[in-house]
Amino acid sequence: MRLYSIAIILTLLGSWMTTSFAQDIASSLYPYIYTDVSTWPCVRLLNATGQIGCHVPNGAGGILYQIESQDEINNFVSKHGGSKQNYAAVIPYNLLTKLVVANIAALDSTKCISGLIVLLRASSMVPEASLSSPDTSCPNCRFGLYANDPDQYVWNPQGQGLIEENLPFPVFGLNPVDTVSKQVFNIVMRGVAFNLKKQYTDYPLQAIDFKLFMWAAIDSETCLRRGWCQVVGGTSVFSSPSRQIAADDGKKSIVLTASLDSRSLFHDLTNGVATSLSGLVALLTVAESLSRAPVSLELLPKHIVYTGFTAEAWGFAGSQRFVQDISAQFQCTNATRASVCPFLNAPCTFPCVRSMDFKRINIDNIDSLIEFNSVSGLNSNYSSYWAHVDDVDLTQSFVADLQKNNLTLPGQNSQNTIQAANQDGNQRKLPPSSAMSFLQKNRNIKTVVLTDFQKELGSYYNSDMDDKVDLDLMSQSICGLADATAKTVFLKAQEGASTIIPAETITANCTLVSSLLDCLASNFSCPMMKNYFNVSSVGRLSHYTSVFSFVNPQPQLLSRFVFTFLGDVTGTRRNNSDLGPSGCSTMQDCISGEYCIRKQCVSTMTAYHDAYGTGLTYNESTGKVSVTDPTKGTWTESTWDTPTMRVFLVTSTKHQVIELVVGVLWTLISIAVVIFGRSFLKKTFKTD
Amino acid sequence: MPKLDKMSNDELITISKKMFYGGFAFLPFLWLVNVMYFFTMCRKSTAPPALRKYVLMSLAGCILSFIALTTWYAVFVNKRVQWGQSADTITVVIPKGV
Repeated sequence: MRLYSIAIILTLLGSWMTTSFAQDIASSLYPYIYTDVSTWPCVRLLNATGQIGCHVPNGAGGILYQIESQDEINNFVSKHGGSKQNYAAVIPYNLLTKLVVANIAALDSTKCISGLIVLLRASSMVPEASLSSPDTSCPNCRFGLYANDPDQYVWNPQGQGLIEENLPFPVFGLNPVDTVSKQVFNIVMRGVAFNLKKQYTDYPLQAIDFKLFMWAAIDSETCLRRGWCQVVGGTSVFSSPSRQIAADDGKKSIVLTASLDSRSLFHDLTNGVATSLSGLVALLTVAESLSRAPVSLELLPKHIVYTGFTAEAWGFAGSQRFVQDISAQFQCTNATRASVCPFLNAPCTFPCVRSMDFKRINIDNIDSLIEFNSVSGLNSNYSSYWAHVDDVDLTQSFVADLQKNNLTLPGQNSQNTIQAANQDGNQRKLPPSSAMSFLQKNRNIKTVVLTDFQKELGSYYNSDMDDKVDLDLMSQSICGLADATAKTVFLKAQEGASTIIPAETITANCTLVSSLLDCLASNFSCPMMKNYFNVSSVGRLSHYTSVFSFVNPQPQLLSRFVFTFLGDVTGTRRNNSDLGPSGCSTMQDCISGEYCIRKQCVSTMTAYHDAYGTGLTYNESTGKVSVTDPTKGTWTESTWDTPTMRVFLVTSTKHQVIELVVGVLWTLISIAVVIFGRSFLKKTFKTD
Repeated sequence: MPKLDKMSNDELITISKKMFYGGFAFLPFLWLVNVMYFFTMCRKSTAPPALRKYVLMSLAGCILSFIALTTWYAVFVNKRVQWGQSADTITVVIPKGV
């Protein structure tokens, strides 16, 4: 009896100890085993037809294995192909091709390579020469102007198509540009070096495991219904120096447009310098040059409108929605909404809009359009720019006007004017561009899309390696292009006037180009930015569109900057001191209708516009988003559980199996010993 | 409950009858219990035919509901995604990620 009571007391004591110390063990033992690291994952997005991206239902993991070339992949397959051991491959970006991914998917089914860590530019392990664009062979072509044409030109034949693939294994990016990412890079590379030294056979080895759980599945309609995804979108900006522009003033407009953001496989690391940021910088430079014109732009016979569209990579969401809204009838009913209209002093609460400025742009009065597409110069080695057109006859004089102004490009054998893209006899028509959205509504707009490529989008298109900034070369090229374009636009806006003012005084500010490129690509908290915003801790900005909030729409940093910059260059500072001092520190210090930009009250025709797929409709009375047109952009982003990556030491499978077998045997033996021991002792000592 | 041998035939029939009718309240396991409980009694030659009838019908009901449930399970699991909205309205906890 005493034995039993002692046993019971001991058990109770043991369980009390384990429960009270369990918390401590969990928090103090975990860091000894695992090293949690920050992640930059590939995530799941959905549209009307299906899903893309990465999702792992149950965790995945494996021994860190470095692969640096195609040969090493073949070696890996032959050496470890049959084993039951899981591996996590660390590969450079140039190996992320369709072929390799297909190989890995095949291996994944035999549970060999269970995940990928992809190294980017700052790791210095990616050879520049063998890069290819991860985008499809004709990006966004099904949403473009030529979607129903039988022989659509294929703009990206080298594209790997990975950006629209549904990958069943985790893929994480790694670009050591700042403290956190450098730390993660060091941890991963140390693990890889450790394993390499042990020849991947001398256990224990460093392993990594991944958690990448996405809630949404199937398609946008399903996940929106379930509330497990959010609409991909942002805020576009449009602006005009003509503060009195109106839809019915009979004046024609020249529209200059660029894309505000970009796309790549790893959304946190998207930079898009060559793909679209260059275009934005060109647009802002032209706006600034024209603001220094010898006469006020408001007095010219034609209006100039600057537009920067967000979410263009997602089915031309920004430009399509803008064109849709300016062409459609606007009816204000002021009915009740599901949630209160979030804008202060909204001119209309149902539909809830920030301002009615978009109704002042008349699509039928748009006479010409210039788009700054990929204009970094990188694709042509800083030697030429190309003008792409839809209708050659319609735009002949327009292109000729553009070619009247000289370019000074830094590359070898550089051309000194903008080249017509069809000068080799092939009319390829327009590359994927925002201009297509305007032409879909009004095919008579004389449209020119400026790019640094003639035949193909290039290997940096929507790539995670598109963060190469040769600051001097790029700024010189973009400056040259902006200079020529600004002069052409100034002359064009005077068409119909009795006296034409020469454009020689319109020059592009190359220092501005350099600052813009540096700030927007590498470090948002640069000295130039401090003039506009109080930023100090934002380094490299991600140029991914992110999600659109219908309840509390807040423009992203980049949209805010473009708004502020354009407001500054197209607006006029208050000079009538009767209305009060023009200096200010916040918008509240100025009168209504004015903005506080660079500490001055400025009145300007600059506005935001919502940008999200036109295939999606927000029902304001129910607060629900639904897919109404599957043929247009319907992109949504899944909600997810926090993706994690953790590094730890692992023993071989054989070792683990032996441990298990020994443990089970030990348990059985101890049970047997206790049973037989008890009966033996009972017999020997005859106690009860 | 007293042992089965000590109960009279009438009592056995009443219990079996109650279990049989009770099973119609979407309780197929009650039918299974009915069958298992009275199985040995049915095997005896002294068993009343009414008891055998109820036990046999309970067995039939049990097998039929098993087939029905299994078929529904197979259909639902395979067609849930295809059915879209209608499937979501009848699902209690919609699985994430699939």
